[in-house]
Amino acid sequence: MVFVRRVKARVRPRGATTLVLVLLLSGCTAFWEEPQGTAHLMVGDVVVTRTEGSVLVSVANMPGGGAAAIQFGSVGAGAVSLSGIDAASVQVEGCNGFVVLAAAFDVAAGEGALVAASGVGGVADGEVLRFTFDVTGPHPSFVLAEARVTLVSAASLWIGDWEVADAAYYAR
Amino acid sequence: MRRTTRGRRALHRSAAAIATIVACAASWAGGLGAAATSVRPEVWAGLELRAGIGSGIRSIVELGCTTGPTTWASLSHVESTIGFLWQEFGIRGRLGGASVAANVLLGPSTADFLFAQGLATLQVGGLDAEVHWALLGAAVLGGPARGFAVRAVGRVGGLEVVSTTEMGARIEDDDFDGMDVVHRATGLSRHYETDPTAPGRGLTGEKLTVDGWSLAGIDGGATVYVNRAGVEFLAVTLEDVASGLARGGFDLEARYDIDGDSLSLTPHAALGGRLLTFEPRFVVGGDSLDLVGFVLSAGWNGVTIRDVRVLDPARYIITTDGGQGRLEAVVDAVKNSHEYDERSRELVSIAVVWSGPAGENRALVDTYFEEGSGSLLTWGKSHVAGAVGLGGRTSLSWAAMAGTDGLDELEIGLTVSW
Repeated sequence: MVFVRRVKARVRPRGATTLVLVLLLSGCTAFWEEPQGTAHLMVGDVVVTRTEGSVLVSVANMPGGGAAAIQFGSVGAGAVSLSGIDAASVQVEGCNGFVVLAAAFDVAAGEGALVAASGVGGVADGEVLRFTFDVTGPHPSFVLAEARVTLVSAASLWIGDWEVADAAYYAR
Repeated sequence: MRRTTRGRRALHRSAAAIATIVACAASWAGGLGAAATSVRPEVWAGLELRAGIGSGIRSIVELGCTTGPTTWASLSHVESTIGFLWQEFGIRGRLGGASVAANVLLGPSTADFLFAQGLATLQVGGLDAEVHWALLGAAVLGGPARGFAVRAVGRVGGLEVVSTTEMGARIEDDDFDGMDVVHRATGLSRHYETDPTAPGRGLTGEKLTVDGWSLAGIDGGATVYVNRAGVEFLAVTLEDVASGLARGGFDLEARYDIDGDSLSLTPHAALGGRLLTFEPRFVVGGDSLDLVGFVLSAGWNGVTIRDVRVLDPARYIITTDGGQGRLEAVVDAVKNSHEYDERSRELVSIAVVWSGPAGENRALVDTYFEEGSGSLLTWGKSHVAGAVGLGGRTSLSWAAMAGTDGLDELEIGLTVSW
């Protein structure tokens, strides 16, 4: 009789202990701070393959159904500054529904401007633009002037509260 | 100053979490060690090399070891253009009465902890329970974030009830795509099924599915998902509603969704050894029921043919994640960050899987037709991919994309395992 009781006592707590331990471990992690919700624009590092380079521009946490239009400055006051990159060779391609409506890159000034929009909706998290170009120097740089960038959401509202993020990774 | 303190706190918590993972893994391995001494470990390795136009050379090395019930694995991904991109460790085994698995993702080039997830599967009082846990590192935009979710499956009479309780995390299923950790510069990503970035703290969502009920001889199911914003969606499915055709019928799904209601009708018929499916997609809009697109598919003897057609490109698009394309609402594609090309109106996809003397082979040809394309039959682009076994645990794979402006992508890969 005692033996049966001991066997029961051994078997039952094993599964229950595992469950309690797993829930305890899990529970300890669930009530920390809330995930960040700030809208971000991200410009990737220049990736060079032989003499060609590329830069990806992505967004994260964009409100209002996602980013649906983007403007990088204007002609004569471009938002993109290039160094070690042949401005005449720059090609811009829209991603995830984005279409480049107009783009101009000034070889002498080493800067560029563009307007792109999505015809089907916004992008909340993901790539929106891909730049490809010829590299002319050892350390090519692609710099975006944040103050000259304008974003519009799929709800046709200006997205004013956003930041440029320099994190190497993002979650989507 | 405030940011610095918060950053330090986050760092300490991440470090504590990693230490916990390491300690658990070490004690786990230690506990298994005694049992494992009499079991001969099985070790395997694999190397995948891939070269592409404009993308340099990619090298992926996988190492694994199985000792008794425990399997350890390592994956190292190096890109010639940017260096050591991902290092992932995985472990799977048993702990007490539970089956457990865990993954940790690191970014070696930036020396960052990126992501960890764990899964425990156990049976409790007649319920099949899964506890999913995930931690997103502070180095990933969107993090730091942590959370867990519990999925319980039970049976009441003839009904199957699935409950998913979300405590800061969501789990991949038919309605949710999990999470990707994306490298900003290249767009390369690693996919995981547990997403700890659900907004809010504590209880952040509950999903309840009841399957197996029968009404007038028709089987059905219902799913409701509630999160902190309220009812996200309610879907009712009727399966195999007889249409009068021999071995035919149709499935019906009515869905109330915060992003738009829809009614989906899926006729299917088994003809000989073939299965032919026609899935028109209707959307309820005001007083009308609009046909926004359809998917026609047929499969036999390892061959699958799919035709995905968009009729209302303002509301529906073809998304390309996972191959063979899907017809998806724009709002869903945006919400789940699925890839799409807004110009595509039709996709014809042919996938073939066949057995050869050196193992399983596969090939895929996707052809997209685009609005405004000046080419023959409005052809827009084609994507081909495949892999064949070469014998001796070696396989050759390829992928190419060609559009109206020529060859866009070409990749050749070689995988060797031993």
